[in-house]
Amino acid sequence: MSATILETRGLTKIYNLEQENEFEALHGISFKVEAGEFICVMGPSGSGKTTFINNISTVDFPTKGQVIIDGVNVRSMTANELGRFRGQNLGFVFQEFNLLDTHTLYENIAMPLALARVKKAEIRPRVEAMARQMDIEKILHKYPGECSGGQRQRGAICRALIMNPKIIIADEPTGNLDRRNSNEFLALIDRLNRGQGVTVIMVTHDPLIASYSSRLVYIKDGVIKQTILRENLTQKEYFDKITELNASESRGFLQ
Amino acid sequence: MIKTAARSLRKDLDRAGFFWIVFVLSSMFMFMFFHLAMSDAIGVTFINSSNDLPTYLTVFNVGLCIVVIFLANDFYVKKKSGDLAVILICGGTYGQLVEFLLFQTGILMVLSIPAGIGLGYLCFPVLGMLFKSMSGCEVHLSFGLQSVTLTACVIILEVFWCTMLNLGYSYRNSILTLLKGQEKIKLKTPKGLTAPGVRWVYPALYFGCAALLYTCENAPEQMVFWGFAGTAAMWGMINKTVVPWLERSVPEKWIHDGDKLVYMGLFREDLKMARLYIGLFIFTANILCALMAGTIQNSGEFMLCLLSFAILIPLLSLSLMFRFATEAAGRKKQFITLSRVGYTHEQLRRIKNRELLCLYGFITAVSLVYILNILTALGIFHLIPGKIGAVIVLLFVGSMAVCGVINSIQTGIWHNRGEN
Repeated sequence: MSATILETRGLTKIYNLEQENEFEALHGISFKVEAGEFICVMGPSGSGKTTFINNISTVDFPTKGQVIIDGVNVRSMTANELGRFRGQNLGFVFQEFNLLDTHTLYENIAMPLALARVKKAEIRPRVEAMARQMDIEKILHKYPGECSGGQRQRGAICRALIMNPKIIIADEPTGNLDRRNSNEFLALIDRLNRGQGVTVIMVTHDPLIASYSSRLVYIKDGVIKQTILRENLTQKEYFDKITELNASESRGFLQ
Repeated sequence: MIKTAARSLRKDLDRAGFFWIVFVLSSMFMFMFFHLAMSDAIGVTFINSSNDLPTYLTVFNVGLCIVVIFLANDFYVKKKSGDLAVILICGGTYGQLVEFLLFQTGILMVLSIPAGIGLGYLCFPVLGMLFKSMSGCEVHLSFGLQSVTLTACVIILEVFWCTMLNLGYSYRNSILTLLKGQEKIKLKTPKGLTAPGVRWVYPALYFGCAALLYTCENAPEQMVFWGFAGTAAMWGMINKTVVPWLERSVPEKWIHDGDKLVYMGLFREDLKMARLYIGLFIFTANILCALMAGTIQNSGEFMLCLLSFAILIPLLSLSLMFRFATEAAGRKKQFITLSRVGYTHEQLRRIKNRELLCLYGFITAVSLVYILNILTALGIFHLIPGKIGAVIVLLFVGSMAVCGVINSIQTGIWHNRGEN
């Protein structure tokens, strides 16, 4: 039986607390992720997907409830400990890539290694090996502004993976990519998940992308409305189930 | 449209505040300068004026104030490009855009000219005292309508000119470009390697020209020429030596140092972005120091140069400070990314402070190479008392230090608020 790597208990997020425009985005979500899982989070716009992923990944903090990653309650850590914790355990990939445009791809990818005080001599071979896997070895000296969306996303993935994180957090990672680059990205994530046992939690609105996951979590109005496990389903059957779930939601709006 | 402009002005109060301060300081400076230049002790007349040093200095100072106002306006309007695009999308005409922009700059101008003139007037007794204590000449400064008119004319012309330029900017660009107007300039990989010879030519020229300052014993006015040549060499040195050196060093030397990797990379960007400011800064410092050397025999003219130095350097420092603050404010997302990568709160604070230290330290150091050499040369030739030299250096270092500290406090506040 695999161990729980991430858990939320009564996760509640309230924006503008005690103000006129107070808004509860997440309502007491309890949720567990086992090591090695590939979870996709789906839901309509404004359902709380990004709030949810931000709160479980230490990017934001819940108003109430707990987030426990690898046995550690993230609220018990100081800001500095949290920084180190992120560097060692989490890899982030976002729709906007979030690379530093003041630094070249090489420098961006090397950043987590520099933070972990990896020896200078080891840095270049590791960055180059990772870049080779992503086919961006030849453009490492370029600034993000000079690269295509796909190349930037691959750079961001290299940076997310260079420290071999336990969990990859991805928020709409293919939102700015064309179909070919999206497929390449998915194949890579799938390889990491199956081959290296990396846990993946990804927000997406695309059923095809979601069909690569092992579990689908459907969020609506700040609560987990439904969960679909892939288990023994073929990808096609799983894809159909996800499509049907999305379609039934849309159908509700038809007169 | 005026209502929209007023809202737009209110929405961006920090930028508007900076623009206003630049207006106030420029008006104040021009007002004081015109009064002093036209006083009995100096005797500049703008009717039938002879082409003497105070006239050239007036042109230089007014020109520099115009450039500073223009740069402040540029920052202000670039931020407004989104608003301009929305007006155009909604069917606005270019005439309405003029109204929109002119109203904002006009309000700032109307609020700043009286403030600048008032502050300048309040400084008259101090100015008179300083003039007397440093040059021995008695100068009587009284409120003169001619100076007020000249100051107002320059500022109004400047505002009109800026508005026309702004309008040209929105006319030349598509709505899409205007919408993206707030985006940062894309950095580029340097094309090819700079030949080692070329790389060292500029530093050699830069230091060579500084050494040649010591040959101007009998003609200190020649220092203006070497100051000018030194500024040109400095420009080349930043482009061909310092930035390429940083391009090589960040990925090679400092790649294993988490803090240095980030702040030297940011400093590299600062140098690329703020080249114009740095050039202007060093050019002004060099030229005014050299001019002081050339006018040392005439105490009135010397005081005029010193006054120019005392006001233009803080004015330029302020511009640089705002430039940096604007850059820093735009880096909010980058610092969020860094914290996701694993940088701690403390590290991010340190990175911001070190970047500031590098930027201000670099500008201070490259400027001081000339300022100190000019002053030392003049000291050796017994042309300038040590006291005045110390005042000049203190003025320069002080204004840089104050602006650097303000920037540091400001970024610290953002950092604590979690904005950056």
